[in-house]
Amino acid sequence: MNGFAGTGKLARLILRQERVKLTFWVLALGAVPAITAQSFLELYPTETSRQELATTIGANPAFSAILGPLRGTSIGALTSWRLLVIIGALVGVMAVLTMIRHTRLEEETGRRELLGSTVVGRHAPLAAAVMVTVAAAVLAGLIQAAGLVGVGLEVPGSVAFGVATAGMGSFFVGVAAVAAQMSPSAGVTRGIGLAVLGAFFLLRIVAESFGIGVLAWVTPFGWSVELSSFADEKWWVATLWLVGFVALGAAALTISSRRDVGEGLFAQRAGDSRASRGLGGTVGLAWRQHRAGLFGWLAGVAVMGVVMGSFAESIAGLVADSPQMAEILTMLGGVEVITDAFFMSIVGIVAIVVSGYAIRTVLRLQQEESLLRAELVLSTVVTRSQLAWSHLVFAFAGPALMLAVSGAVAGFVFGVTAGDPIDEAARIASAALAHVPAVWVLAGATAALYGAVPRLTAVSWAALVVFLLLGQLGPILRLPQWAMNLSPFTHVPAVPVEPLELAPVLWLVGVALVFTLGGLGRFSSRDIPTVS
Amino acid sequence: MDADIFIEGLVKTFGHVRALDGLDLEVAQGEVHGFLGPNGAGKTTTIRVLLGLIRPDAGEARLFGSDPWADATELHRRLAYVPGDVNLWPNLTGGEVIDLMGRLRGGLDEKRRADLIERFDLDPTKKGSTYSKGNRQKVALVAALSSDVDLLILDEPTAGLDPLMEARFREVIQEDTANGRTVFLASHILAEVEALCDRVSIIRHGRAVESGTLDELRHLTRTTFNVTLRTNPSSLAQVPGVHDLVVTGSRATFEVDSDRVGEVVKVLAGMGVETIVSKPPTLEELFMRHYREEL
Repeated sequence: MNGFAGTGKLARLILRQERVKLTFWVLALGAVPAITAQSFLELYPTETSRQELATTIGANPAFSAILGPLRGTSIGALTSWRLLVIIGALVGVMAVLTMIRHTRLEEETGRRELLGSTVVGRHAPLAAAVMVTVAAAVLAGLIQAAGLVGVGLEVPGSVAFGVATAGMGSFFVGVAAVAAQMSPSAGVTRGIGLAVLGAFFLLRIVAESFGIGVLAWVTPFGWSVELSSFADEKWWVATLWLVGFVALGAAALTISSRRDVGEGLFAQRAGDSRASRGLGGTVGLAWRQHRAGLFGWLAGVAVMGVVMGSFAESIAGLVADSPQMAEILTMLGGVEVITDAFFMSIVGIVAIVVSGYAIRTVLRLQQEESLLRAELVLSTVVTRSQLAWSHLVFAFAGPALMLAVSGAVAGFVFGVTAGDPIDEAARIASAALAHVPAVWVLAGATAALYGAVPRLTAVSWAALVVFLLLGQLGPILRLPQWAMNLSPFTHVPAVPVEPLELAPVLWLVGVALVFTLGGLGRFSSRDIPTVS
Repeated sequence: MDADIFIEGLVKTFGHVRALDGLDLEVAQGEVHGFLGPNGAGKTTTIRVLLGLIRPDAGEARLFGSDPWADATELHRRLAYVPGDVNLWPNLTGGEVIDLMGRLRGGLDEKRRADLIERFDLDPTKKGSTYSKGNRQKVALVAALSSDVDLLILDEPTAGLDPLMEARFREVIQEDTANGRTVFLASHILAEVEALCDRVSIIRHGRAVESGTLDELRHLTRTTFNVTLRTNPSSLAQVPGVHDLVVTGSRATFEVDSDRVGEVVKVLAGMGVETIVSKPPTLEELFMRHYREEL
C-alpha cells in the first residue's frame, strides 16, 4: 500500500473538524496587516509625521530588540516593522496547535488506530495535517498580501509580507511534525513545539540586542526581519523557510516510519508498582499531571527573564555610546524611564504567554472529562468541586509563580550591573505580579465557559489572541478606549512606572472570582460527561 | 427498603434522544443482577444516573435508599465502579492507579490487591499509556474488586479481556458474591450473565422489557423439542401450546409454551416416540426474542 494513500480524504476530514478554529486563525491573521496599515495611513498621513514617529521609535532600543529595526518611514515599512515578528509568532502558534491536534492527540486518544485499520497509508495522517496547516498559513499570507495591496501599498512589499507569514507557518508546521514524534503525550509534544517557538523568538532578541548578527540567521524570526518587506526585499531569504520546512518534514517522516503507532522517540520506562504517599488524593493526582509542564514553563520564563534582564542592562550602555540618544532619552524622562517602560512592555508579553498556560490548565479538566477519567474519579468519594479545584489551583498559582520568577530573574540580572540585584528583583517581580489578576480573569472566564457551555471553550483562546493584538496594536493605532477596555490587560496598573493602584487589582480579582465560582456552580450541577 | 438499587419510571433525554424512557429496576441486597441490552439501549446512562453523574428528567432513582444525585459522595463510600471504557493517566503506572483509586475510595484490602494482580496476570509497573485495552480494564477491575465496598457497579467489564481472563473474572465475582456483595453487571455477553447472575433485567430503548430470575424468564417462553415419531407428527399442530411445527418425514421440530410442557409430553407418549431431545430456552433466545420483534 502507498504510504500516503488516503491523505486527501483525511485532509478533508481535518478541514471539517477545523472549520471554526482555522477560519478564525486565517481571518484574524489575514485581516490584521491591512487594518494596521489603514490606521497608520489615517494617523500618520504626512512624511513629517512619520519621521517624528520614526525618531521616537528609533530612540527606544527595546523596540528594535523585540520587533526588529525600523527600515524606512513608508506606511509599508511601519506596518511590517510593527507586525512581522508578532504575526510570525502567532502563525507559529497556530501551526503547532493545529498540527499536534491532528497528529499526536489523535494517536493518544486512539482515534489514529481506528483510521490505521482502514485504507490509509502510514504517512497519510501526518501528511494530511501538514497539508491542511500549510494551506492555512499560505491562505493567511495571501489574504494579508491582498489586503495590503488593497489599502494601496506597493505590491512587492505586500507579497513579501504574505510570504513571511506563509514561511513562518510552514517552518513551524515542520517543527511541530518533528515534535509530534517525540513523546506519546500530546501535552508534552505541544510543549516541545511551543518551547522551540519561544526559544527562536528569544534568540532573535538576543541577536538584536547584543548585535550578534550571525545569531539572527539561526532563527526564522530573524529571516522575517531580513526579508525586509517594503525596503529592498531580499527574496532569496524566503528559500530558508522552504529548506527548513522540507528538512524538518523529511526528518518527521523518517522518525514516524521507524516508530510504532502510539510510541514516542523516547521509550517509556517502567515505574513504581505502588503509589507514593503523595499520590493520595485529587491534589496529588493533579500534581502528577501538571508537574512536568509546570517545571518546563518555569524554566522557559526564567530564560526569558535572563534575556530581558541582560537586554535592559544593555540599554544603559547604548545611551552612553551616543550623546544624541542620551539627549532624546532625557527628553523622554531618563534612562530609568526607558528601562522601566521596557520591563513593563515585555512583562506584558510574558503575562499573555502565561495566560496560555492558565487556559490550557483549566482545559485539562475538560480533557479529563472527555476521556472519562473525571467519571472514574467522581465515582469515588470525591466531590466535583474538589476535582475542579485540584486543576484550578495550578491554573491560578502556576501563572503567578511564573510571572514572579520571570520578573525576579530579569530584575536580578539587570541589578547585577546596575546595582542592588535584590532590590531590582523585587521591583520587577512586583511589576510582573501586577498582571496576575488579569491572567486570572482569563482563567476564570475559561472556567466559566467550561462549566456553562463546554463546547465553546475555544473562545478563551480566541480572546487571548484578541487581547494580545489589542495590547500590541492598540496604542500605536490609537484604538478607542472602549475597545482597549475589553482586555483585562488594559487595566493592569503600570507598575513600576506608576505606583500600584489597588482598585483595578481588586475588581479584576473580583471578576475572576465571579467567573470561576459561576463556572464551578454550573460544573457541579450539570451532567458529566456533557452531551453537546 | 431492602433494595440496594431501586429505580422507577426513570426518564432521561439528550436533545431529541430519549435514552431512558420510564425505566424500572430493582436490585436486592446481595444479589448479582445482570443488566442486559445491546449498545445504545441505555445501560451506561442508567449507571451514570446511579453514580450521580447525570440528573434524570423524571422518575425516581434510589441507591441504598438515598438520592444518588444529592448524596453522591456519601454513597460512593459504599460502591466501586468499573467503566466500560477505561482510560488511565498516561504517566501513572497501573499499580499507582490501583492505590490511588483505593485511597480516593477510602481504603483497599492489601491481600486482595496482591492476589488479584497475580490472578489477572497484571504488570503493575507499566505506565498507563503503554497498557492495552484489556490491561487497562484489568487495572480498573483490580482497583474496584480490592476495595472494601458493598456494591460493585460494572459496565461491560470483560469487553477487552481474553477468554482466560474472562474465566478468572467469573471466579472472582463468584467468590465476591459468596461474601454477600451486591453486583450490578451491565453486559451484552449473555454467557457471562447466565453464569453469574441471580436475576436479570433486559432493557430496550430505555425501558426494562423483562425482569426476573433466569427460571422465571424461562417460564415466560418456550422449550424447543426435536422428536422422531412412529406415527405422523402432523397432528401435533392441533395440540394446544405447540408452535412453529416443522415436519420432515417422521421427524418434527417445534416449540412448546413452558407451562404446557407436561401435557405435550403426555400426547407425545401416545404417538410412539423413537427419539426425543428437548432444550430449555437459553438467555440468548430470550434476549433475541425481545430484539427480533422490531425487525
